[in-house]
Amino acid sequence: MSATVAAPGLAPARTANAGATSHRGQMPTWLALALLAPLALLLAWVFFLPIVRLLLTSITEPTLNIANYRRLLSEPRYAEVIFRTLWIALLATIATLTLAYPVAVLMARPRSWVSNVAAVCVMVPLWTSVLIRSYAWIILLDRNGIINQWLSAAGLIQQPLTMLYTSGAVLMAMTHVLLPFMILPVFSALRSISPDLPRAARNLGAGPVRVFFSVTLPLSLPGVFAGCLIVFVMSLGFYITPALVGGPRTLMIATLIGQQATELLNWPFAGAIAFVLLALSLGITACFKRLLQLDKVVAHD
Amino acid sequence: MEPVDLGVTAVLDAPVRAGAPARAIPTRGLSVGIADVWKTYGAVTAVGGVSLEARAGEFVSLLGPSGSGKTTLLMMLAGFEQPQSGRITVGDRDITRVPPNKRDIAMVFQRYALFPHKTVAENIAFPLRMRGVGRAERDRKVQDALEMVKLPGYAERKPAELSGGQQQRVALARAIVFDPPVILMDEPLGALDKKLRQHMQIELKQLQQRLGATVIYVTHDQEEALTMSDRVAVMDGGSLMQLGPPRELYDAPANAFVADFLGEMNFVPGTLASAADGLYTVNAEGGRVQAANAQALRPGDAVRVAVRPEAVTVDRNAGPGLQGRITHMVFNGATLSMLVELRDGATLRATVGTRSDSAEMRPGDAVSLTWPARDAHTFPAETG
Repeated sequence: MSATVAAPGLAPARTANAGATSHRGQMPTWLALALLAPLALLLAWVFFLPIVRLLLTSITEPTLNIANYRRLLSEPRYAEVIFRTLWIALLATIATLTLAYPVAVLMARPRSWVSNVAAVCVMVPLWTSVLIRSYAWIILLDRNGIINQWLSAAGLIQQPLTMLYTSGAVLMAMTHVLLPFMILPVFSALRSISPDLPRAARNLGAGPVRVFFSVTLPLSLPGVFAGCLIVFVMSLGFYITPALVGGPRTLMIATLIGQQATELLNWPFAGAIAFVLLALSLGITACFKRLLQLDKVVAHD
Repeated sequence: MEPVDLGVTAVLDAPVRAGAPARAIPTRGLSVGIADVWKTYGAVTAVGGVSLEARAGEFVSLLGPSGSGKTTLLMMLAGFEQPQSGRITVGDRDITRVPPNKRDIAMVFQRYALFPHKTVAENIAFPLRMRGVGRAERDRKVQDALEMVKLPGYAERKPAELSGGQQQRVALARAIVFDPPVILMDEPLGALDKKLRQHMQIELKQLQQRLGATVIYVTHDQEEALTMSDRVAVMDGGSLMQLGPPRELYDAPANAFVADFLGEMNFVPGTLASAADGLYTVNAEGGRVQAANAQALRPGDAVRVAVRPEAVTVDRNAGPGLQGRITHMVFNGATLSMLVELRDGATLRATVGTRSDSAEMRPGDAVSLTWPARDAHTFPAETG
């Protein structure tokens, strides 16, 4: 294991440190359980119970079998939906990260009005309904939408472009909707970096670019990983935006579940898809934690 | 070795001696010049026209209360702040507009500012990497620096696994590893407990003397400044109040602020009666006192006489000097503080040795207070 590959003198300090951590915020076990109880009961009643029942129907109806899962994995149409979902989720994660990082850097700058403006620009959309934000994209991307009107008015196109109901539209709208969920963790990580650290690096001879790559970026990675995980997992199960701006050719897992449950009333099959989605989300979260070892990347404080 | 008896042999011996573990390492520090530097934030003047010069290899402290401009001055030396006007030089080089990473000045931060994601060795190697030092030399210098701060064997640890004092040593090692001619220190011992702080003060000073680097040391702890510095610059309200060796500041404060800020000081208000040959006679409420000072004051001026508690002699018999009555005796260990109430109600503090005769006196005793004229200083009375 990687933990054992260390200087021999390391062990006592590690133990001392671990001891300090376990003593932080001590609370009797019964009190901790009592505080958790209301939420746990509510979740058990309104969340876990229905999910378990839905998942059970996927293997018990009409009789005990795994036909639903066999169908899901054997028909290429469904495998395609799963892969498309993974692919769009990956692209959305990359796109949000690319857009979010500079904004987070701007927001984390101390004592500047620019950072306040940026913070407002990030927070206000977050308080707006996802539905509204998705409709905004319909207004923009429609055949008679604003972009097509402008392009034809400018004489750049003769025929209106088809933008709505494509994967591109889904990706763009999802990136927009999920952006704050990337910005906030990255911002929080950047904000927790002591301003002394970049200063120390400058003082020791690093130019602004090297300061970024040797200090700021590595120290912001926990926030980056957290943001990526949140955005990726949310993208996997995203419903409203793909349902509104995506068409039948850009079906994603969540929209497929919706279709099966509400239009075709095939609840057992919807349950099977839901189980696959759940397994994917949990599996990816676990892999992320395992691969990146978040707590090992940065051991400060 | 034979004792050197002739000048000629001494000269001939010199190269041989240089190879031996010689104690005298030549000064490699550079002088630091600050010339009429101004820095304002909006309407607030943080530093208002400060000029001072630190000689090569000198340990100069910037001492002052918070808001005195000492930290701003240090930030301008490091290059994190730009002065509105004035010049900052290191040696012959004008660095006023040079970016921080090109100044070749090290800085030790109050909260250490170690890179938490790097090991101790990587932290210390950082300035060497930035300077393109090769791997072998880098490793050697890192080891040397760790030994210098007495932390060999800690190279592979992360900063979070070290105690505060150890982190401070690593920060120090990182600052000295690239042989900077000037080291800035921003209250580097402020976060340590008292015992460790006193220990580190001595170590820091010894290290500085061995390296020969010029050190500019910011602190609000006067004891620290007096203990470690070759010279102390006392600052207040963005201005330099006095610059001098610790002893000079303590014994001959240039103004009432320095007199009051450093150590304990009694102030006796009065009116200047006469001035002759540098000897001032002042009529105070409790009597007539004498003082020495170079302040340009004229008879009739309202003045304050400043005298240190340890300079005050307490006499049981009514005599010359100020008349008063002991109200409290405070035992401090080696010394004893007496609080003496004067006729006008003002209280003066006198410090005497616990084993001296004066220590036998009791609260309620009527006493007279005197002091040698050269130990008292006259300043203009506070205005406003």
